Amino acid sequence: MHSFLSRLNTLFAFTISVLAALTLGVFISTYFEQYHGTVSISANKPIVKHMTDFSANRKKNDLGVLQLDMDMNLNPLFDWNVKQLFLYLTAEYVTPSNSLNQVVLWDKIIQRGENAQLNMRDVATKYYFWDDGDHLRSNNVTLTLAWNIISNAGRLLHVRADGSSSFIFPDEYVTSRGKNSGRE
Amino acid sequence: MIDIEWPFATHMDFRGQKMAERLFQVIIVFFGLIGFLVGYMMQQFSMTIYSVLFGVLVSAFLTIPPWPIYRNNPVEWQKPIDSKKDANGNKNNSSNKSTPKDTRKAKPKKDQ
Repeated sequence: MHSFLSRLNTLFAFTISVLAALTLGVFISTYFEQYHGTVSISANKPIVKHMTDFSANRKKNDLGVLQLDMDMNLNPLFDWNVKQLFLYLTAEYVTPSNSLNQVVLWDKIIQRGENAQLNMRDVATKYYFWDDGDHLRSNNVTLTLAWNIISNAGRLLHVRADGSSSFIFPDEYVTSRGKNSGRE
Repeated sequence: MIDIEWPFATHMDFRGQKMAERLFQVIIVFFGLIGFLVGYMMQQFSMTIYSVLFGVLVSAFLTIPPWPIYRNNPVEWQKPIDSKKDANGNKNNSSNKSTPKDTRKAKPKKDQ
C-alpha cells in the first residue's frame, strides 16, 4: 500500500475475492431449486419406412417418420443462476432384441433472455428415427422431454419434464413410391 | 515487485495506508452486499457484478490517488547525526524545537 501499483494490486485481489464469495452465494441460493416443468407433446402422422441405413450396417432397418407438436412454457425456470437450458426429446420403446431403446429426435438450446415459451406445430424431427432392426411396426413409443440446466455457478442438473405422450406406429410399411408424407 | 518512478509523489504514510485499506474493503463489501440483494430481487446476476464494479470504481477513486488525508501522520524520522557538527553544536535542527514540522520542511520535494 505504499505505492500506486501496490494499492492497485491489493484492490484488484480483494475485488476478486469478493466476487468469488458472491458467486458462492448465488450457488447456495439456488442449491435446492428443482426446475420442474410441464410440457405437452404429441406426435402427428407416424409412419414406418424400411430402408437401408447407410450410416450403420448395410442392412435394411426401420425408419420412423413423424411430426411433433409441442407446447411448453419454461420462462419460470430461468432464475439468476441459469445461463441456458438444453432441451431434448427422446422416444423410448421396447423391442424383442433390446429391453429399452432411447432415440433422441429433437433438441434445442434456449439461452437466458430468449423466449422460452414454445408452441410448435408439425415440426419435423431433427434427427432420424432409425431402429436397430425392424421392430417399429405396431410398436408403442413414448415421447419424453428432458432438459439440462446450465448454471452460472453450480452443478449441471438433469430434469425430466412432466407430461409425456405415447403413440403407436402403424403395422405396415410405407413404400417410398407412395405419397411422401412429411419426410423432408 | 515492479517499482515505477512516477513524476508525482504516490506515497501514503502508515496510518493513511491502514485507513485506505479499511476504506476500500468496507466500500467493496458494502456494494457487494447491495448488489447481491438487488440481483436476488431482480433475479439477474449481472446486477450484482455491476454493483461490485461500481464499488470498485468508487474505491479506486477514493483510495488509489494519494489524497492529503492519507498524509496526516507522517513518519517521524530521526534527526540526521553528523559527527562533524557534534563538535560545533550550532545546527538549528538539533535544538529543542518540535521535530515533526522541521523534518517535513527538510524534505520539500515530496510535499504537495
